[in-house]
Amino acid sequence: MRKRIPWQGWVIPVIFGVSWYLLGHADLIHTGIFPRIHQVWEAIIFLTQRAALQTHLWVSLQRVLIGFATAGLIGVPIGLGLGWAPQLKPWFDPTLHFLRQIPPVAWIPLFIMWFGIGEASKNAVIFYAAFFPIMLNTQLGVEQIPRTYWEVADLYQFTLWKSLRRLVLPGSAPAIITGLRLGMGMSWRALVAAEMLAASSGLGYLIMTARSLVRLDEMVVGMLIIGVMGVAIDGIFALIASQLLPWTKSVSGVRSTDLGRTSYEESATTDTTGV
Amino acid sequence: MKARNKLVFLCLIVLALLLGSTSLILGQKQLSMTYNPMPFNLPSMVEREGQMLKELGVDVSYNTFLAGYTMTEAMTARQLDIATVMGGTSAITSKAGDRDIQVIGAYSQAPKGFALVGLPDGLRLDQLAGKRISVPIGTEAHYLLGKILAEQGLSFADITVINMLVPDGVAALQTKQVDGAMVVEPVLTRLVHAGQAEVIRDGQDLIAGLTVSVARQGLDQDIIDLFKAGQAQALCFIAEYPDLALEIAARETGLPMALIEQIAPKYQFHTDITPEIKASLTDAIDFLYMEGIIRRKIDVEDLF
Amino acid sequence: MKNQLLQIQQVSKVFPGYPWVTALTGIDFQVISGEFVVILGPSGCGKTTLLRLLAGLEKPSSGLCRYRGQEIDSPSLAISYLFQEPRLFPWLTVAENMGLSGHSEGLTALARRMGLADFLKSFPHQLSGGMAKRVSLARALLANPEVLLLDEPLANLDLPTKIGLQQELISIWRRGITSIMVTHDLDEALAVASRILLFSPRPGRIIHDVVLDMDHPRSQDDQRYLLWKRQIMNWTMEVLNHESTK
Repeated sequence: MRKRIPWQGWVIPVIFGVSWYLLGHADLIHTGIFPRIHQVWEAIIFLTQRAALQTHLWVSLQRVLIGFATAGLIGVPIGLGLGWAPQLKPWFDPTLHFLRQIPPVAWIPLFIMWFGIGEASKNAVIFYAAFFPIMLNTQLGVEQIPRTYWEVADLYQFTLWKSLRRLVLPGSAPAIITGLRLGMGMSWRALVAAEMLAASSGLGYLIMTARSLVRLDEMVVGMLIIGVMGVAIDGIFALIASQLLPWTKSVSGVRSTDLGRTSYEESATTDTTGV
Repeated sequence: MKARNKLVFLCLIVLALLLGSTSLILGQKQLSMTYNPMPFNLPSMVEREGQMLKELGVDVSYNTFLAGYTMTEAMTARQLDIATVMGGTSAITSKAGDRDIQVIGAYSQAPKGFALVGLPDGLRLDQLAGKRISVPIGTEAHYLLGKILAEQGLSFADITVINMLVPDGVAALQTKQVDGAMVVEPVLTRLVHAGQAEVIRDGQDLIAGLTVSVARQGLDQDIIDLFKAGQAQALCFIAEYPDLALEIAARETGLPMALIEQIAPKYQFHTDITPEIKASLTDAIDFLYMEGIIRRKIDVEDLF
Repeated sequence: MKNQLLQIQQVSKVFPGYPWVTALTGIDFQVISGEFVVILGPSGCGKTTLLRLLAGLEKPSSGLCRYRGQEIDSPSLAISYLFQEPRLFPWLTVAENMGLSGHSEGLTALARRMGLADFLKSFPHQLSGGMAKRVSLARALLANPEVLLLDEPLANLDLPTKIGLQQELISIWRRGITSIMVTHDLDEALAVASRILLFSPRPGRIIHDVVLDMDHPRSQDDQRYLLWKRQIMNWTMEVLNHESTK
């Protein structure tokens, strides 16, 4: 099993951490601009003792999981449908492309009016953020299934259900997983933005409150937790992918962990077939 | 280098020197400061209307900020020299957060200018536990909310705090997304006047409702003195021509005179840091520390 | 005739585009049950297109293809197709790939006969090229077809694999499966065919249709084999000369 983060990956963070500590120790960091590392550590202790950190983290995680799961449950079938039936594309593509251009954050004021400042508006923002990468990558994944495989399906007279199970789903699975990973990343970012605007809990709220109260160390704690959680969740996805898609291991071991290769951002310029 | 190039180079240097010395000779002092007619910043409105600082030879630029912490952020980035009006709480939290700022004078006191409001026949003072209250965190209103809760034997942990600026909080209140909202003037009087909200508790006897003027550390003392002179002129004008001052306020805020006349009596304007003011700031520091709103306890003298 | 299995009647195929490409023109022949027909012709003469028409993967521009009197307008399990490349689904195991037609009776027996028994749980990327081709052939056979279409089945294989597969194809044919194979290799054709259709360069048309009266296994030193080889080479040369004098 390949290690998730090889030792080289730790070099820059460790150099950064040590420099951070030394600069603070030598009194070279102006704490009005950036906290010292021990202040951040104390802030973590302070927030953990008051159970604030756990609460914010848990609340944010719940929001992401709900919004993300909804986006997956709706985005994957729609993506499969659009990829499978290209005649639908001219009908939906322009609208979807238009909606995709609008950052989820721009919807927040409207969502707050429609769904209130409670969980519903946050879930809506996260859904919006995660939906497009999931849907578009799924669509792309189906489109990338080589025509030669479709002929095999024709030849052996696959039923609709058999085509889905034997060809469409497994054939687009790597792209779907890429979409899910991108969608998860988008969810996190949108979540923080949503919680910054109107919330009473969550990591975005933690950062925003820390800003209001001029507590730079707590802001940094919030940022660190968001980054660490993002990396951790992505790692879980990569693990699930390697378990779920055993055939991709040796054919293209990089593929399931390399976000860029089949992502929709690149699809506009390169038309690669996915084998 | 060719002779002609040399000549061009020399000319450029002379031109630069000339331009530089001109601004020195004119002696224009640059000052970037905040300006916001709200909540009810009468001296600022009068000063700008009368161009009092300009006449003192200050090249002043006015910038609008909506919250105290954004002002001290701009000061840290050296894009703002003086925050004319900043809540005492914002000054304290900024200082506790190691921002390089300095209180250079008082601005106004208006305990009744801050209040917790609810919808008519809505929230009651003895029913705060478990309610959702919107408040701009880290402001004077936040401090007042803490005091109101303490008066009822509660703390922040007993309610749900929603971090929102005052206008957003009012919108949330009207769509019943929150049970109560912390508001300030002139929104407070306007809402109550229109029957859209009623005051549950204002700051009377709870807080000083203090705002102060804050400069970034390292700002030229000359400029601070000029700023104070401008403020003094504005206060003189208000004392001498109160009716004229209110007319200016009505025009700047766009509010009807009737409302302005209700709001004005709530406000006292003076610049002296009196022992009473220091005492109320000390109170505030203790309370904010106790509630965990500041994590580092500062001495009141650190503020000046 | 009663035992006419396939009838190809005046079939032409044109691919629209820039320029339009005429792949086949005026193709007309019948296949009788039990034949091993080899379509022999140069690259690009439309051989593969003809197989695709018979498989129902394409429709002729004009003319008709019939299977037992019925027009072929879509694929059916009775006519199975061995693609030139294996076309195995990389996400399915060998066994799952073999059973794609939905028929899996006799899968293990077939796998054992074709030397695939130990690989049933492997994924396609773990197989050699020859092995993958066998899986593909097994998949086509499990559909239980009456006709087997073979598109260059022996191309790009190493010699032992090629000989093994050649014997396999003959034994399949002997078990009663009418086979139609396309190739550009004369020796491959002579090794297996009971009948050879010699195609012209594009646009493809039949220039000779001959029945080979030879038994299996055939030796390349055999007198009749050499005669046929020379005859077909002569015909090919005639076509080339005819083309160049045009």
